[in-house]
Amino acid sequence: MAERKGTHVAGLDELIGGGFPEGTVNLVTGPPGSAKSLMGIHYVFNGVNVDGDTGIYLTLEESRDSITRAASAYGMDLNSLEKEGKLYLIDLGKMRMECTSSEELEWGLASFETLQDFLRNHIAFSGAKRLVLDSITAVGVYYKTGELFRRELFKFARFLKESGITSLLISEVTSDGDSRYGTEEFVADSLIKLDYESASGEYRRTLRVKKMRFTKHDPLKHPFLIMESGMEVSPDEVIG
Amino acid sequence: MTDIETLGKLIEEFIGKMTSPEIGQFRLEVSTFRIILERSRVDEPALVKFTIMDDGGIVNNLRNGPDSVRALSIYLKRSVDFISSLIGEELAKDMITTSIRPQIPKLLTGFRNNEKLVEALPEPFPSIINETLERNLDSTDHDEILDLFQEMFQTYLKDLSAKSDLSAFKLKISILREKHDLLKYMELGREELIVIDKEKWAYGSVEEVRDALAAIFNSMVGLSTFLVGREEAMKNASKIFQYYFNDKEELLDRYGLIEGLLDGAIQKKISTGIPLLDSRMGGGIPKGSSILLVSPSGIERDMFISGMLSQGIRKGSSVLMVLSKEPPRSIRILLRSNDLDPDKLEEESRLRIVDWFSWRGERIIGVERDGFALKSSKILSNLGIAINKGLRELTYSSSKIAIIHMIGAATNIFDFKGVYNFIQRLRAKFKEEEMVSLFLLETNSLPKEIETTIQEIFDGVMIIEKKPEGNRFAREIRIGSLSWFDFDASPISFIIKDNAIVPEREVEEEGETLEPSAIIDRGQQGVQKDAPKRPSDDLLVMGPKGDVISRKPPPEATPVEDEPPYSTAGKMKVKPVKKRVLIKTPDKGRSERASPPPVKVEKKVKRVMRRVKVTPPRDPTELEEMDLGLKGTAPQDILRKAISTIDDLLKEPPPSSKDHMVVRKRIK
Repeated sequence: MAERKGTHVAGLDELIGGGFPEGTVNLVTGPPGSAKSLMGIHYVFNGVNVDGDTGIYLTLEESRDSITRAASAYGMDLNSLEKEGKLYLIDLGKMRMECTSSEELEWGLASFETLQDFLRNHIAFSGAKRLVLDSITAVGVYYKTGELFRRELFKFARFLKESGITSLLISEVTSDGDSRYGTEEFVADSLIKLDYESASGEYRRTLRVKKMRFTKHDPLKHPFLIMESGMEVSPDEVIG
Repeated sequence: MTDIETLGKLIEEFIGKMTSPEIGQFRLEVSTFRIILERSRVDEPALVKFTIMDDGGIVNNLRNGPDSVRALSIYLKRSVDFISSLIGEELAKDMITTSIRPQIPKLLTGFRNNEKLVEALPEPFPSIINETLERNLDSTDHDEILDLFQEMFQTYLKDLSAKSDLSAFKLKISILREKHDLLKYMELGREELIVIDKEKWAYGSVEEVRDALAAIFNSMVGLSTFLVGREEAMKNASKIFQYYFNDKEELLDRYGLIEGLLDGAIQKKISTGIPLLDSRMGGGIPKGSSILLVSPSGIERDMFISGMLSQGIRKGSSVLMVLSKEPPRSIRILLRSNDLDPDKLEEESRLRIVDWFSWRGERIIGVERDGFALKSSKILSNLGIAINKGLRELTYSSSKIAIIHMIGAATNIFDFKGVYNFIQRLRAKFKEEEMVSLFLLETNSLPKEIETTIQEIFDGVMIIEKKPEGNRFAREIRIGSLSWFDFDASPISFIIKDNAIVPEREVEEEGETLEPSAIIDRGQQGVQKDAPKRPSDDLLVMGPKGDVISRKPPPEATPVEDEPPYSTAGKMKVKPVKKRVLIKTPDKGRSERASPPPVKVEKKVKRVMRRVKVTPPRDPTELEEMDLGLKGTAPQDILRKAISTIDDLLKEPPPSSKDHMVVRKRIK
């Protein structure tokens, strides 16, 4: 049985058998504002703080500042972990901003192939055990067909598994879908869907573990909150 | 503790409570007390060695002696006078008494057998201290329990010494002495001899003795756990314990030691706070049971909960409360009226309040924190999250109690199926935690078929009933059902007396009357007053088990509704005025005053309003619901207006109550 990489998000590990199995590729999806990035931040930040795992957070859309600011709002100081060499917050979005979209496409700046090259060196250099890719939606834009995207994603996922890193890929979807391109969930070892819904005049945030290989997981929909220290999932509460 | 140390601690507690945001009427700033101290130094220069820090803490460098005692007493008196000058003597006295009473037990060692020191203090302190002393002296006959524990400790230590060196245990005891004063009077001699100085321990309160004994025993079990593992250690400890205390359950229970020892392993039931009701269930509510309490809302239910909680908390239980009809403040006030300190309990994680009330008046997103309380938004999933958070935060204790007041409100808002499932889940959770949970439901608040369906969820049902009978309400509590355990369903008639539910049978045994004349004085909580004779047989109908089950109506009176001790409208009430009721007693046939002269609250409130320039309410009936108008006023503003008078007040000798009126007139 593989070791687990706990997310250490309050209540979440209880639903997924203690954490993601080591070396797996995991997908978290949800509509905009559903706390996908926050979950990613928790995953790498807690990995360093609780388990001593070096982590990489690769952002393709949000700026570095926006990520660190969001993290610090919940008491997570990413900058100091970076200084200690425990966390690498890499802003590929900035590079993309400096290019035109045609240059980006031409150079394949955000293609899986480029990411793979970059990560191969970086994982070896840093000894990272956890990776967050925020988000693969941005990568998908590079591929003209779904078929191509799926094939490249499959290769990329295989690379991640072979490198031994336990990764969390973020994908933006609409409320009624499970993934942006309809293929990510087949490639990933697990799928966690974040969402929000209306209930008695309020909006509530929900989380559902829709798929988790190698794990007896809780597939029910659970509410979660964003409290002063970040995400808190309530494994005892079930919706629907 | 020297007299000066005792006084210093008392002043520190006093300042702490008066500057706390939850003392009831209003709060003062620490700077007020510093100003009063500054002024007092003019007459009592010794007070320069007494300093109040910014956070209300004190630095007390006074030398022990009568001069220093006098100086501190004068300072305390001037502080009390100042508060009286703001809100009036009666209210000031009530406020100080309510807030300081829970703190007194920990200072008792300094006041016991020290009448001189007690008398040196300004009122209401001597009254509070003497009352607390009396209560503690009633139960300081600790000889029996100390003898038994001393023997047991020696046997246990011999057993432990055969397995290990005891130096670690001795070190632990020396550390524990810092926390438990009484352990300073326990010798750990050679040959595993433990000698308890019973004369010194006799001055300890029941709580102090309990905590000290539990601390030693639990340390022994701790050492044993280290040596032989937890399972074996618990087995040995139980064996030794059973040998000495096999038939002493009542004695242990009196000291709350059933819960305090062996992680509560010997405790199987939780008391309701009413021994007669406990006995109807074979000793209390079984651990892990969820009980539905069906009752009219009002004082009966409040007093039942308050009694059960104070009994449980004193014996070491942790408590989770879910409120849907009142804000957390009301519960804190209710606990204070039972001499409990909710601030301390919350700080120690022995009390968590889930506020499912505030969403009606403010926007709450998900679950929010308000100090130690957890506020939940309307939807049940968030309430569930808040309850789970509260449960997780409760400190480990041998027994946990949950009071859940949400069924009625939830059934009105959400569909029944959702509420039913929610309650089922809660019950399962509480059972898993071996908690005793009490779910509250107002009588006749739900259609009968829904109430019956809900009852099926629970392990038991308790019912409180209240019916008008002549000039009074006849009140009864009974067990409607209880799964797995034998119970006696016959009702217990009760009255409300001294903030508690008292079975009428006990009142009769005490020789108090139950005649109408004694029940008329409602005061704050329908307290029975002077009892010259036993009830006449012609007024009582006895139940099959000797309980009073009904009462013939007495003449010339109408039922008077009791007032709850706290507002249900989210605001602190001005303490309800004792109503002056003139009645004709059947036997005497003459009018008599059934309560002390009424306090003129309205005038007092208006006077305070004038002084702080807050508009008094238009309708005088609002007075009982208002919070003196000072609540929203910044303490600094109250002070700024009042402080201009303080110099005058302090230049003169401390005013007596008669002088107050003169001083006030002059201020005006």
